[in-house]
Order: sequence, then structure tokens, then C-alpha cells
Amino acid sequence: MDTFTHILNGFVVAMEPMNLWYTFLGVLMGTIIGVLPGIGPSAGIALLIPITYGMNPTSALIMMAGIYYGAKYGGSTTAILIRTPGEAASVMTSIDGYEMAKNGRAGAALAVSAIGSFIAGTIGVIGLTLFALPLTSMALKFGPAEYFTLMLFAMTAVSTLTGDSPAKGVIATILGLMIATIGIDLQSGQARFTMGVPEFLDGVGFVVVVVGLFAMAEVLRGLEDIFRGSSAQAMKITGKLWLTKEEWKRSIGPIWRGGIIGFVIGVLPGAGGTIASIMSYTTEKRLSKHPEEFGKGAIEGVAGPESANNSDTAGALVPLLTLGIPGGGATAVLLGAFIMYGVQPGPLLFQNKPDLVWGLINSMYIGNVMLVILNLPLIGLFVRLLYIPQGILYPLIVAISAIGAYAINGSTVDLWLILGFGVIGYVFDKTGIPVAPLVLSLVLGGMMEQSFRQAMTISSGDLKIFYGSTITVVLLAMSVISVLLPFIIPMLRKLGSKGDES
Amino acid sequence: MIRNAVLVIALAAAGLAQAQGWKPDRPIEIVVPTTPGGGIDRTARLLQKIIQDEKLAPVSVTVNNKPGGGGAVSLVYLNQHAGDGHFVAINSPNLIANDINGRSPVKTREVTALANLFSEYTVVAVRADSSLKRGQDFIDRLRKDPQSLAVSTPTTLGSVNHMSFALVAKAAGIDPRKLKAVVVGSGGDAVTALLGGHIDAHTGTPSSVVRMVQAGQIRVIGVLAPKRLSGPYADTPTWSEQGYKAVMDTWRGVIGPHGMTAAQVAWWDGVLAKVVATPAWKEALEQNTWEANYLNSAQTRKLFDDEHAEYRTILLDLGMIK
Repeated sequence: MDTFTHILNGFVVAMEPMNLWYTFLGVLMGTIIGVLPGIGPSAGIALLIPITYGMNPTSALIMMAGIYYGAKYGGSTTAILIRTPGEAASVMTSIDGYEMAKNGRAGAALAVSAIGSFIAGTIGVIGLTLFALPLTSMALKFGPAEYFTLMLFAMTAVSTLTGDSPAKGVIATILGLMIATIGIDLQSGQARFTMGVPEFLDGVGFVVVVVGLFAMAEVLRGLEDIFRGSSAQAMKITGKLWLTKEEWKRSIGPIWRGGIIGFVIGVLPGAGGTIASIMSYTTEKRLSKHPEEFGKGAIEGVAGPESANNSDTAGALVPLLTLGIPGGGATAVLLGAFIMYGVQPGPLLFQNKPDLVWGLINSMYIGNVMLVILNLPLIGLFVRLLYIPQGILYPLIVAISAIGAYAINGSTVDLWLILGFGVIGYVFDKTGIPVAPLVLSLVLGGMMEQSFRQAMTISSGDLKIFYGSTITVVLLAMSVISVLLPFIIPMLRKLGSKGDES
Repeated sequence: MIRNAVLVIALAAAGLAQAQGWKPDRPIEIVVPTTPGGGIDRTARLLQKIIQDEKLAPVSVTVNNKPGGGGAVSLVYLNQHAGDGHFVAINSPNLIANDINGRSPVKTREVTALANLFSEYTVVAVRADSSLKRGQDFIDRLRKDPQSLAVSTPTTLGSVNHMSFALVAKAAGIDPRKLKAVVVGSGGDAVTALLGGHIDAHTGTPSSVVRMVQAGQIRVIGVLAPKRLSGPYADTPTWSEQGYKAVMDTWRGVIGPHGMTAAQVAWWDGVLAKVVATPAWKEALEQNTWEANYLNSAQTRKLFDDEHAEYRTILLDLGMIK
């Protein structure tokens, strides 16, 4: 009853004209930041902190949170139109989203991203409202052993991302794992595979690799077309910018599932939106009646991941608000902002500052509505990008990619890296090696290795720790099932059809 | 109050007198070795704000993030401006640790020490329901079996937190190489693992656990400080009080490039002394659980030299360097 009153009061706070204005300002800035690759919500919020000095803490935090979840809306735009993920978490969107654009359905892809983001974002905030406290204890049950088995389960998705040739999938996976080991190894404090380049000590950035593999490789492919004189086929837009009835029907399931997957993964500190969107993508491909369409412009492959990476933001606020533990870069910066305003997130926050907490949470409902209203009309504007002649579009992609990569660390080494990975992406394309397994193993590899070694330290080298808790056992079982599933399903279908005949 | 005011005026006068030799005539740049958002970045932006708001410099102040190479990129950049008093950088014990382990192209002696702004003395924390009630319980367990406690040490092997753990053990005569240090990515990860019961204790900054301490879910059993901390930790005993002499902190230093002139150093001594006397600075210290520990340029140079020697000893004990 008491909590309910607090929630209602929170709406009063969120609806104050001043706070509505800051919500709008936050989500607008978030959208813009999201569109540009490289400039992520972490840097956006951090740079804003000094400007918001002296502001009412609630308003300032509402605005900063707006940037955080708003950025996830913007990230899909360039992913779909020019195969350049604006945010790390949009990488899965660029696989099928860009293919949809090539098929003339850019409008539908953008629309389903916006709508999916809205629905899933709202699912996430509802989850945050209702389950924040119980979920906190779930997040705490995840120690190194649990994280390792979770990553292992996520890794089994490689098989669904691989094309027809398992060998080629293995090549991509191993290359991703190798890249993940570059930099200072936390467990031993030693530098690995840095080749004497100081910039490599902190590892190779995920966004840098992805921008190279996707955007730069696409430019190289385009160049090849131009040199061969077959550049006439500019992208076109067929049908309306909105979803067809069929597309809508195919999207609604992935949106719901993505929303739930994203929220749950978001609650776990460290897992994050990229892993959530990969999990959603593979789930959809496994559930789909036509998995062969994935990678060739399946709308489920856009709807699911885009939804997952939005509800993830609400999930990530659970450990931040209830424990004061940031799950990732952007929430760490938010924590810094909280502290600067003299607000200490943690178990006492909900008791001591209910107006602030619920005002912030409830502003996210409003922010999501604002974002969908803001983003839908922009679709008409953004798709015009596709009318740009290739002679202008490709240099534009190179410029956006280079600015984005440079903006992360202000380092020219990253510019060479996107070029290098662009060549790798191009070679992969020519030889039929899939890119997605590389991306997956790059995201998971580092965390998987670190959590494995943490667990082994804790258990003094005893492997029992990996089947010592219910969570690890369930995750291990799920991993085994996931590997065997492609063999089991055809067998079951066979049995089923035999049953029908008799 | 009056005494403070007198002190401020005295310092200001001293600053003015010294500043006659040199003062900036172009914008000042504060270099940050990390991406925006972390503790070092926040320190730099706070410094920027106070210098501007209090009009402590005749020019504007910018913050420039130069992440990469575990701080190496920023140091190389700083020293590209050798002898230029318009460039300063915020740094942490990484400066010295990376020098010792040979990872940094810039030696500690190759930068100009300007000030230490504050310190974060390492705390050893356990879950509130842990059987480790005091520092002595912790030591007893480790004496019986150094492997019996899994202790998180963010964020890498050989970090200040890891060295703190080693220092406490060494003070009790336990071989640091036998300890079970679990390296985790951040203080946040460590607190999650501690609350979830996956590890037995955590070494980290006071701010990494302060919220859970106030909520009564985490207990600090010892602080590696020369004397008790202020604020929420006023009642927490130091390790020295408990009979184990161990002091280790994550300090936040201001450095300048190689070859700054005495006049430039004097100007910065004046300005930074004024910064740490402002109410805005003191408020920020309190909010962030940062412990006031201002040192001027000469004292900071000594700090760097002392820390260099001390880190070397501990890293040798840990077998991390030869």
C-alpha cells in the first residue's frame, strides 16, 4: 500500500512540466548520440554532468537516464540503413536490418525497431516497477561459476549463427576468441598479444571491430561493384514505410520475447545489451519456422534484438538503484552522477528518497512514449539516405565510421583497425565465412575466460564449482540441449509425421 | 572559521607572490588517462569547475580525455608538451605500478609532481553476517590456511587493492604468494560477489562499499589508513590499531609534463592549495567518501618516490617482478 502511494507520487513528480521538459531533452540527446557510432551514452552522460551542476537532482537524473535509454533507439538507424551499428548493442540489427533495407523494406525495419523498442522498453520499466527488489536477490546468486555457465550457454548460439559450413563457423569463432584475448590479462596482470603497441594494452574495442567488419566491409564491396561497372542497382524502397500485416504478425512474438530476455539479462551486472540482443536473435532463429531467412532480411531478426537491447536498460537499473552496483559503462557513469548529487543508490534509496526513485522510474514510461513519437516521423527522413548516390554514400559511411571510431579513444590506431577489419570482413564475405560467430565470441570470450578463471581461483582448481549450484546445473543442461537441439528436432518431426500417417 | 579565512588569505597571498614568475596565458588543459565518467575523470572535471568558478586562473580550463594503454597514451601525450605549464594530468597509483612492471614508456621520474588531491585508503570488507567480526579473525583464518579465504581484488593483479591484501598478510607474517586473490573487473562486481556469498572478503576503496555499509549489509573489518577515516567510517578501526601495520591508498595526484620550471610549479602549488580549501571541494570529498590528503609539489614528489620503493617491495614479495 505504502509502495503503491510512492509509485503514484512518482507519477506526479514525473509529470511536473519541468521534469517533462528534461525527459524530452534527455531522450532527444539520447537519440542523436545513438545515431552516431562510437559516441555512446556513457560519454554523453559524463560530458553532461558538469553542466547539470546545481540542477534539481531528480530532473538531472531523469535527463541522464533519458540519454541512456534514448541512445538505444537511435542505434538501429545507421545499422539498418548503412550497416553501421550506432551502438554496440545494435550489431545484430545490422545483420537482418540491412538485408531488409536491400530488399526495399528499410521503412519497415526502422518502424519495427521503434515500435519494438517502445513495447520492450515499457515491458522493462514495468519489470523494474514490479520486480526490482526480488530480482536483486537473483542477480546476487550469479557468481563467477554462474556467469561462466551463462556465457557457455550463450556460446552455443554459435551453431545457429553459422551458415552451411561448420568449419567456416569455427574459423570465425576462433578468430573472435583470439581478438578477445588481446590486452592486459586481469588475472595475471600480463600483457597478451599487444605486439608492443601501447594502444592494445586496453584490448581491441568491440565497436571498432564491428564498424570495420560491417560498415567498412560494405564500402569495399560497393567499391568492387563500382569498379566492375555494376553499380546501377541503388537501393530502392518498395511498398509503404509502415509494416505490412504479415510483417506485423511475424514481429509481435519476437518483440515480447526480446523484451523479457533483455530485461532479465539486463538485471545481471556485466552481461549487458549486446549479449541480450544476441540471445534474442538466436532464440528467434531457433523458434522460427523459416530459419533459412535469417541473415537474408528476416524481420524477426530486427524486432527481437532491438527490443531486447531496449528493455535491457531498465533491467540494468535494478542493481544500480537497489544495490548501487553499476552493471556496465553507462550505469557506472550514472552512479557517479547520483553520488555527485548526494544521492546514494542502494537498499536505503527506496526508503529515503521515494520521490526521486519513482519519479525517475516513472519518467521512463513517459520517455518511451516520447521516443516512439519522436522516432516514427524521422523514418521518412532517414530512409531518404538511401536515395543518396553511391558515389556520395560510401564516402559518407567511411566518414561516419571514422569519426565514430576516433571518438571512442581519440586514437588514430583505431582508424587503422577499422580499415584492417574492413578488409577482413570483405575477405570473409568473398570466402563465405560468416561474421556473426566472430562478433559473438568477441563479446563473450573475454567475460567467459575471466569468470572461468575467477571460479577456478575460488574453488582452488576444483571443477565441482561448475555443477555446485542449481543455476549452474540448469545452465549446463540448457547448453547441452541447445547443442543437441538441431539433431533432436528433425528426429521428433520424423516421429511426429510417422504418427500422423499411422 | 576565521582561522580558515586567514589561512585562505595567507595562501592566496603566497600564491600571488609566487605567481609573479609565471602565469598561464593560454587555456589550461587537464589530461585524463581514462574515458569520461570514471573517478579520475570526475576529479578532473571538478578541478576544472572550481578553478573556473573561483576564478583561480586568468584563462579557461579544458578537460581532454586521452584513454588507452593503461594510462600510457596520456603520459606520452603529456610529455609531448615538455616544459609547458599549461598541461597537467590527473593520475593514480597506476602511474608508478606501470612504471615498475615496465609497461609504461614514461617513468615516474620523467613527469613533474604537482600535488596529491586526496586519498582513498583501502578497506577490507566482509558481508554483515560473516563470522569474520574483526581484523584478527581475518588474520587467524589466513594464518591457519592462507588459501581459506577468497578475497576479491579489483581490478587487476598487482593493483593497489591486491597490494593492500598482500600488505595486511605480510604484516601478520603470512606469505603473500599463498593468498587466494580473486581478480574482478570492478568494485561493483566485487560487491555483487561478496553479497552473493561467492567470495569471503573484498579489498577496495571506501566508496566501493559505503552504500552497503550504511545499509548494514557489509562490514568493514579494517582500514589501511594511518588514522581513522572521517564520515561513515569514523568508528571503523585501522589495521595499525589492530596490531598490523599496513597503510595503502589509491591517491589522486596532479602531474605536469617533464621539465616544468620552478615558477610554473609554484603557480600550480598556489592554485591547487586554494582549490582544496574551497567549500565546493570539501563537499565533493564528503559526497564521494574521498579522504582529504592534500600534498604540495615537494611532498608529492616524495610520495611518488616512497610509493615507488614500497610497490616494488610488495610486487617482489608477490613474485610479480624480478
